Amino acid sequence: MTHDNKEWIGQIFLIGVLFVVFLTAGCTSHNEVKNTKALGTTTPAVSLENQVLKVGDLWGLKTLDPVKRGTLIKEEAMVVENLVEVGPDFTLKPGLATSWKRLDNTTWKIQLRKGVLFQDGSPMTSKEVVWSLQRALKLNPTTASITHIKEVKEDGNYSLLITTDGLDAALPAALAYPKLAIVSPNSKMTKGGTITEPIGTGPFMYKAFDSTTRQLTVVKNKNYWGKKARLDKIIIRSIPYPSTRFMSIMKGDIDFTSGIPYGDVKLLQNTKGVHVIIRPKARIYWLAFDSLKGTPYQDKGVRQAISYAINRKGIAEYALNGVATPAIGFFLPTMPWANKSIKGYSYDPQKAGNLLEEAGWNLNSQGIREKDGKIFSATLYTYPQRPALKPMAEAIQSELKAVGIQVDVRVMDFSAIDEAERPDDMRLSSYSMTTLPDPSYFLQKTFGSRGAYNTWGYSNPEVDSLLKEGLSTFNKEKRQKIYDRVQEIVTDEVPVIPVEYYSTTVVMRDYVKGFVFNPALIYMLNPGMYIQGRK
Amino acid sequence: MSSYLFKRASMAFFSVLIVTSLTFSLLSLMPGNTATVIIQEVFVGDRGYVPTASEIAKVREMYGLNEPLYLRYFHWLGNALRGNFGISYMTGMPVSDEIWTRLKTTITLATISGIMTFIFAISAGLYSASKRGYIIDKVLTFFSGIFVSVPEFLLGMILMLVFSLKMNLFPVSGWGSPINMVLPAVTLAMGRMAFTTRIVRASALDVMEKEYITTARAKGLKENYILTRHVLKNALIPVMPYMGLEIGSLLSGAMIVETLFSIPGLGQLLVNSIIARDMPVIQACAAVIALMYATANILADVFTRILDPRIRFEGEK
Repeated sequence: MTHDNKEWIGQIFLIGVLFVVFLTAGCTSHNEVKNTKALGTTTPAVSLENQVLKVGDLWGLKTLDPVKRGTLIKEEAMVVENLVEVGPDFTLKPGLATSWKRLDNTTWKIQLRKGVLFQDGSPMTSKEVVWSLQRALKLNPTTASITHIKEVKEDGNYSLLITTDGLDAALPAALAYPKLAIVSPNSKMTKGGTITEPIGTGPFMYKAFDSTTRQLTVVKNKNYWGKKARLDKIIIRSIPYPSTRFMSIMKGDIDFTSGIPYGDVKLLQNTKGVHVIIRPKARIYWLAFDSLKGTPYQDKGVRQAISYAINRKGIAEYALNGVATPAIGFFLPTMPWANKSIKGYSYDPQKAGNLLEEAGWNLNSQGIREKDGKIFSATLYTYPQRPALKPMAEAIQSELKAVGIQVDVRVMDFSAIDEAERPDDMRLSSYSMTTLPDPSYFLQKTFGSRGAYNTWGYSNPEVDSLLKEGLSTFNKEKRQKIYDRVQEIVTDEVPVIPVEYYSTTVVMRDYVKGFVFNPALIYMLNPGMYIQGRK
Repeated sequence: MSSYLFKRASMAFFSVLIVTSLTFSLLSLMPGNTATVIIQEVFVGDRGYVPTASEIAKVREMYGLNEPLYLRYFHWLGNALRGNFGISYMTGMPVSDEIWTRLKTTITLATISGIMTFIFAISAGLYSASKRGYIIDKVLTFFSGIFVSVPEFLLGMILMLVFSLKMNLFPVSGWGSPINMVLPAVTLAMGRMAFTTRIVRASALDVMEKEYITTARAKGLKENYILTRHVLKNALIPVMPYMGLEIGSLLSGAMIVETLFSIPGLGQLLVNSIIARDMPVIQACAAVIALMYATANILADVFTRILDPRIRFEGEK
């Protein structure tokens, strides 16, 4: 009895000691690493024919219902599709609709693609499409106001009529909004009407969602109407913590992911077996003022001075490790509707200083700008959700200091900023340029007198009337001229200062082939991807 | 004992009530318009989106945000008492289902770590105390000193780097198979093992100086018998209430470990729903976590009572 007890304690203690030794040994010597490697049983042998892609998702697989998060189930899982799709060059392409035509000022006729089957084998006709669109407009209170769609009606078996809320030349672009993706009424739903197992028309179909591991599996749709997928299966798992995602792709637990910490990009680029792509996306980082009224920023010269004071190239290269592109205008130059003649603001502290002096802000004895006894100082707010913002804000702080503007950087939650910000303050934030793939949406929201992003109170009657004209101009060239002019005005007046274009890092193992980057999408998988050479 | 349990259970019930009503009022004090945040996070998926007045009005109506706070709380409470925790704004799924799958994961993780902590701490603490002053005691004290002070986040990263990336023994992240559980469980247990070992050791040393131990030795009982029979049992009495708190700390630690290892547990759910202001989920999480703390403490009391029959609960004869 006594003896037994002694052994019991001794054994457990031994295990504990071994455990500690094991732990510390791992950190010290490489020989031991090799020895213990033989114990490893975690890397399964994968044959060359195994066309399975494992994806590490960035945002968390919150819902499979396109009504709330179209991007996951549409762009990443490719289960559902839209009537209209956006290509990598931002042009609209026929999707489930083959053509669209305006009948009168507010009515559009959409011709559906014939012979398309839902993944349960039932045909897609106008009946299902109307059901799906109406559902999207009803269940998400923001979709109708973003897309300006008022009503959707059937018009025969393979066409529909869509009425817009006022004149809207951007309707075809609105149909590409991921939350308007088409789902079958046969999709499995909860009592409350949320889709849990979507049935769509896309190249992949829903297979399983494990609620414990929160892992989504989609498989190839063999009856797909278009070019069939080359992968047999995609497994999507959420890895929200950036460093964990980084290690998972390094090790090969996942084959494909995006959004790697900026500091780790160089390391990944030098890692064998991993391929890194850095590309600008349709998203901008900008420096906004809390108010243009009764603040130093109501003076155009001051705003321009601040814009000249920012070293965009330096920020992109040094503060963000190359994962950003200096912003010129408010759109990516590769977008078809970007005004190509805009040159943007160069880095010119000298000119910034002159402009500030013209505006009456002179340097005082401490090297800070002063006007009528008031010192030029502000708090620059930004939020932690996008990792580029903080280093960028700090760089801007020192650049503004160089021209005599005193700035404190504060990082806090988005909604807390709203409460803390005073009229003299600035905010560095990030906005999508392509909520809809059309210039009207972003320009209206940002520069329209009552635009939702325009919280700083910019108002220019010419811009307002041009924006209105743009929505009601259906001729492509004429429309482009209008938006070119808007971009010209707002780049000159800079009510908000474009700083950088958001870049994204896509990381994949070398055996992942056929990837085409689409800057218009949030998620970036495509059906042409395949696996070759995986050991 | 049953009257005591009843008393404690009703106290637990009231603390859950207090926690949930506090959560409710704190949520309304959080910066930012609730409806705006819901629109940004749930319906648009872009924190920069600025909703229109009519969108805000629709969402307020949809989720009954127009009612006064106390009414909303009583509504929630009434439903919750009937077992209806509502529907998640984000996923549209019943909150009870969501919580249950997540809870199983978190409890699994916490239990594995708890058992590891318990077994290691008791055996190492006791052994260390019996070998007081020997080299093994010093080594143990040294290492427990180190691991007590390493935060879970750092330890997890180191373990990942060494055992997944360099040695290729375990997957970096994920959940589902036993091999996935090793690193997170060790990360969670390490600091607690170290700390509890120290407590057990101190408590054992205390007991070893007691007269009844001297008596036992004088009787000629074998040292090991004394250690496992007399010292262990008595040393555990002061450790027990601490263990109850430990369970609570395991839960909060689990949340950090879940984030790091991408484990879809309760912690991850809670963080996500706070960001998205998914009220029904936040409320239910708060209730469940409060309930777990309370239960853990009651269990610790009961175990102490079993270990030491001299201890009487209030009102017990």
